[in-house]
Amino acid sequence: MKIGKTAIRHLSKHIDKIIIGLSYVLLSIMLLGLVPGILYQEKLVEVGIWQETREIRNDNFIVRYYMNSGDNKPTVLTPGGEELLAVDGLESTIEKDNSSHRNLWDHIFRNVAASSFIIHDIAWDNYQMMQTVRLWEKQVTFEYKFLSTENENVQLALSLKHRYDNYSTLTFDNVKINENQENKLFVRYAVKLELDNTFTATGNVRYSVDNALYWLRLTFYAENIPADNNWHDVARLTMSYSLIERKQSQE
Amino acid sequence: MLKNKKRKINKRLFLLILLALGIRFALINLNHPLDLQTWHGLFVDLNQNKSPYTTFEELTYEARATQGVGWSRYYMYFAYPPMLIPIYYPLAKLYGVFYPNDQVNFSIANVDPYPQVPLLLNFLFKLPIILADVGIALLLYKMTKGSEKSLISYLFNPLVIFVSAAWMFDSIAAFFLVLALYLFERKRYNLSAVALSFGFLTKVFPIFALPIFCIEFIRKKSWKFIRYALVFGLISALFILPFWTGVKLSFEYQNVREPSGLTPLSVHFIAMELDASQSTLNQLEYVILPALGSFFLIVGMSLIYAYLSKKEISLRQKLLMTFIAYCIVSKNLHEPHILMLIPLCILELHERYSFDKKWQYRLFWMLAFAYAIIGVPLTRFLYGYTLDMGILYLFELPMLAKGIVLASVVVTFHLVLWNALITLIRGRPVISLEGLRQRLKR
Repeated sequence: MKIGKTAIRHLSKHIDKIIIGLSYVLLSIMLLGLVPGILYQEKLVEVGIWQETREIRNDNFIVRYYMNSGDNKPTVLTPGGEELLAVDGLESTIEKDNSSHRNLWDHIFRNVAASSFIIHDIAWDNYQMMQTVRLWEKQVTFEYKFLSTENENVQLALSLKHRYDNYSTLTFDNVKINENQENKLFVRYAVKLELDNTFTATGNVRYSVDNALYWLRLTFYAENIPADNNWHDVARLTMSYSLIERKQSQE
Repeated sequence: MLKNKKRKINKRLFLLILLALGIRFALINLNHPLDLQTWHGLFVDLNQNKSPYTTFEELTYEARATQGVGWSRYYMYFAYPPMLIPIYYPLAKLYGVFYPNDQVNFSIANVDPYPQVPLLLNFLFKLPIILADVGIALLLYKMTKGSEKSLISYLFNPLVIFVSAAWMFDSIAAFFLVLALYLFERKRYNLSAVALSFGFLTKVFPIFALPIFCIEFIRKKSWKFIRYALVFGLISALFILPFWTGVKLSFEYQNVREPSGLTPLSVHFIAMELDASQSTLNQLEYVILPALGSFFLIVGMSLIYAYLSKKEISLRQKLLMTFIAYCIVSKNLHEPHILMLIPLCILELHERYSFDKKWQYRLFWMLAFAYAIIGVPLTRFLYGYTLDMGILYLFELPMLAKGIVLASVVVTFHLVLWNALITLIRGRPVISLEGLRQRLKR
């Protein structure tokens, strides 16, 4: 009892000094967080960002890309290697007549950055990415192969917005989907993935993205996908990626 | 006779409140476009039993993906503590009865949305806010021993009317703050801690009153501050933990958010005008200025707490000084935030009136209002009635003129804040309007 009274008396007497002392502690914590930010100025800068939207209608197939430009133009190829389009500029919209060949779903998207470069003041480091889209009998699969060659702390955030009819579902492998979003007409999936460091290459060896380890597969499944059926609704898929990189040194 | 007089007063109060409600409800179709998108999303999310934090997270990822449009690491959506969820859940469900399939088409980050919403949404969203205004006014009436002037000063303050009827929910947080003070003064400490916690869970700023309440116990050499802080912490944790990821993301956003509003820290707008490179702007907006903001906040608030811990003044004055200091050091001080000062100013004027204080406190809201009129600008609130850009941007000044006017408002506002704080510390202002008035009279 007496100790308690003495303690509160001291606390009351020195409360102003204690507050100032606490402010030093808080400032120190803040500075500790700030110093790495000053040393590695690019820490907070996100790199490698793109977004794509695909829409399939009865008569049209539309793909929109919002992404980087520059010398390294991502390409969209047919499985046979024929170039369907080269994404040019920050925003590209490609609209194809789809009435006769719905197999435009069936393509390979490839974006390879073999060296560091800066676009729109964003530093892009070495990474390679390949997305293969395949049209199967009743489903479309998106297979992603991603290879980051030098980054040790890479985080990939993916946001997927998907409008679908009651007959279609979208399933993911290796990705955690937010719960409680079943059977809605308009659904957004947001997933945040930590890229496993074992995917990164060691030393100066550059692996080809073709040999990259399987990373992520998205499967779009619909009962009415066969080409002789009409599309009753618009199937739209929006994918957004944000590759956050912690730079180890300044550019 | 006495009963008759009381009945007359009650009738008068009732009519005043009715008038205040009438004015507010007449203005509910005015909105800040960007904020209305958030309220619309909140109602749609809650009606679908979806956490608005989930949508905030999804929109944030998308904002990161559309970087070309703007350098947005976060999407400006529901970045508040979680109290609005239980407050608005039943109202959103009611809205859902009338608009079951309502959806929100969110605009791309950094692009102004112009959502068109039913009047019912405006009504339901603003109902708790407007009722909170009435609650504050009645508390002020009680706390000033039945001063009708206090009630009128709050209910008919133009900034309060505008913020509550057309903009933000600050009055809900302010209501809980004033209620916490009222209960504390009546020694209902547990309830006071609960009210303060509800305030913090609505909008962050009431948390800055917590050290003041705790110091009040410590000064009286009482350990009750531990119990007070524990009740506050437990209630806050109870609401925050179920939404932890979302609340964390919101706080991260608020922490690194570029300084804006009535703060001298929003100097990046000058850099923007000077055509600084995107990289410089990014560093300035998202690293240096937020870090400086945190620095000023820690230093400023610690100094005021340390000073007030030794000062023999009323709790009301201490709270007023705390929130004036908060306005000085806050890196994000938007016009609606000034609402938190108004009830405390009214209490101070009631107890220790002076001509200088009256004008200092008037200038608080006048300058904030002036900033909104030019900054938003005011005409954009009309978009519920028209999408004619000529009308919506009628008050829009040319960029340079707008920058100069807004910077002048910010500087004047901070001079007034400092002057008011010094007045409370020293008992007399640095710049005295009373002195000026006397000189003019002579």
